[in-house]
Amino acid sequence: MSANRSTQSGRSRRLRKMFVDRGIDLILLVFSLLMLLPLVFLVSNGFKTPQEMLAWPPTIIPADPTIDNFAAVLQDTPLLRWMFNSILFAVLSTLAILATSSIAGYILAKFRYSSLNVIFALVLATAIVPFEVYMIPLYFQAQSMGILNSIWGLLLGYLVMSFGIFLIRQNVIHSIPDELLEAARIDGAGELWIFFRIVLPLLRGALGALGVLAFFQAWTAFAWPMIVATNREAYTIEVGLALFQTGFTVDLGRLSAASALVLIPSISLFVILRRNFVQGVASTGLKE
Amino acid sequence: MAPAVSAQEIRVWSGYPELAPFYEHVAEGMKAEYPDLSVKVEAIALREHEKRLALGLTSGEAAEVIELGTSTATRYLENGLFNVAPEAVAAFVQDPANFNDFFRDSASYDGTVYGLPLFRGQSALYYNTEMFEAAGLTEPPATMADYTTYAEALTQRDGSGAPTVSGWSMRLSGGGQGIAEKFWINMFQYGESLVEQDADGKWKADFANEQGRAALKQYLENVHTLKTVTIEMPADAEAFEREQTAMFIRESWVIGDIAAKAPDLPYATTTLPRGSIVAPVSLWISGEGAEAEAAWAFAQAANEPDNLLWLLDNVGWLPNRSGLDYSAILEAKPALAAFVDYPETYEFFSLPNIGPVEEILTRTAARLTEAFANPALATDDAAIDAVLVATQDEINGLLQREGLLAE
Repeated sequence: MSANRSTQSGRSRRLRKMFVDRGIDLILLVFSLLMLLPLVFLVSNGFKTPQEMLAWPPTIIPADPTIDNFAAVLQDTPLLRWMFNSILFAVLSTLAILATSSIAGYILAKFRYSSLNVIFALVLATAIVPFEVYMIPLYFQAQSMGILNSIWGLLLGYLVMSFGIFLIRQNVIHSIPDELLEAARIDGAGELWIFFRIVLPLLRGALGALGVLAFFQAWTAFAWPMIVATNREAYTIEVGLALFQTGFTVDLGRLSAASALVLIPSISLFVILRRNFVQGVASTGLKE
Repeated sequence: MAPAVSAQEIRVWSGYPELAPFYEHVAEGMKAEYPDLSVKVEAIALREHEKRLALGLTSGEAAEVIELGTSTATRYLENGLFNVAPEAVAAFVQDPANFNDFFRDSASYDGTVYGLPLFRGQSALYYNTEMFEAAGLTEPPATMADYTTYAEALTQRDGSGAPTVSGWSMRLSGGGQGIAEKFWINMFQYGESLVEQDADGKWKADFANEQGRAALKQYLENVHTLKTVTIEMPADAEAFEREQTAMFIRESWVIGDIAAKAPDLPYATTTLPRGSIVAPVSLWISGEGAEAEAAWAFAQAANEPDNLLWLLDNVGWLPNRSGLDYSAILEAKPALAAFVDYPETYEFFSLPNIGPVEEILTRTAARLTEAFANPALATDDAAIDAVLVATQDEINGLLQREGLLAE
């Protein structure tokens, strides 16, 4: 009797748990569909005529699909050139930030000089200074160096990331024991050998995460590329997309088409590096 | 004869991406006379254009031809960052046959001509002719009182009496500056302005009077008493294009927008009872020597009647130059008539070229939106007056802070 009751109670518990689990799944599914909806509309709008764009309620699947918006974007604007500029800028900026962050982060974590604490405090302090504060002096610097409208001008503000230095320093402290470095030194390894053959391989995960963050930081940059690149050919994609805004309206069809095309490289990169990206987000939020 | 400036490259910076084809068209037209002149057009959204300009002009890296509204250009004129117009250009701008006083002054500073007036933003009333017909209205509204009467007749309601199509889409929400600007347009029809300049060049707000009350009361009456429009209803060009409103006031760009998005919309336009707000835009020149000469030549070419007509026809912005023959364009696009074919007595006003103008508009909008949402005000003239006095005092406080308040 009691064994029977216990079986029934166990079954009802399992049933309740199943309902709760399914309920959570359903809520998450609805939530994720809502999150995806803007992206779906973005792609869908790219295939709509101006008339259909105005239709209310808006359609998800275009009734009269057209590729005019994509054709106009590719014909009337140097979109591919802007994408190339953005990719070049983002890749070079990422490499520069990886290099500066790994060197500075390693030194700040493992070398024992009191002055390094002051330098580290200064690096952290720069993180709270908004880019807009030093954007104007930086512009005049770029002008005096004669690098406006060039990739070097774009890179000037994106070579070092204080957060990147912080991230690598924390990772070095947590994942590279002093004993390992000491053992290498005792075995006669030079500092450069240690850095390239021991430190960097152990930081692969953190560097991957930082790489993704640095790439997207440059890829989505707007204010700096906008003032440094005044030549249409030198625009990055973010600046180029602003051209679809007219005096009072936005050319939503062409903007959607251009944005949909622009999504391709960033989504591809995200798919390739999604594990690092998730790790990067986790690192920024969970580690000290 | 092509002058020595022909073998040059000049750049044009614009704040309206839709104008890039116009400038390219002008450059194309100059090819015969200036075969070696290369014109690079860099047009980007207005706010970004202004940021770029602020850095470019001060660092000497700006384009040679700069398109800019007078309200923003003044700060650069004060600092001598734009070139004075050559004698021939100044004479052209000062000739009343080419530009009226308003546009001449919009391109001048301290009595000296610095720029070449080019185009302007200007408002008119758009109305749905089919809805007018259904409501038995045969003529567009001519007075502000008509606007309310018409709005009442045009409003479509559901079974409970709630409006489903607004009679007159007033600007009740959205961007702060827009709300205050549209209120200013309506109040101007009653003969009053948000701020006015005195003979000494100082400014004062003085609208807590009968005209100001009439303007604010009209909003409140339409929203709360007659319920011809609500704050929540769809508004502006999109609502008009979707036939969710029967009338609204806007600039000429809506004509092109309707042609693209709602080509079958039955509509017409008409002038406002007294006059319109105008945002005049001119071409200004920076740089030196041969580039500056080529830039002036470009600005003059942009002002050729053929090019200005092309601008109106293809881009939809209104040329500032007088005496143009718009007949061919108006035949194809009659809705433009309300913008270029206005009565002799039509008056223009513009946002003042003073530092705190944006703060004035934003703070006024905050007070207005609060008032629009208060049904108790609709039938209480004393309460309306109190709102106007408080708004006026706040504006005058801002002007005093800046040393701009008139006695």
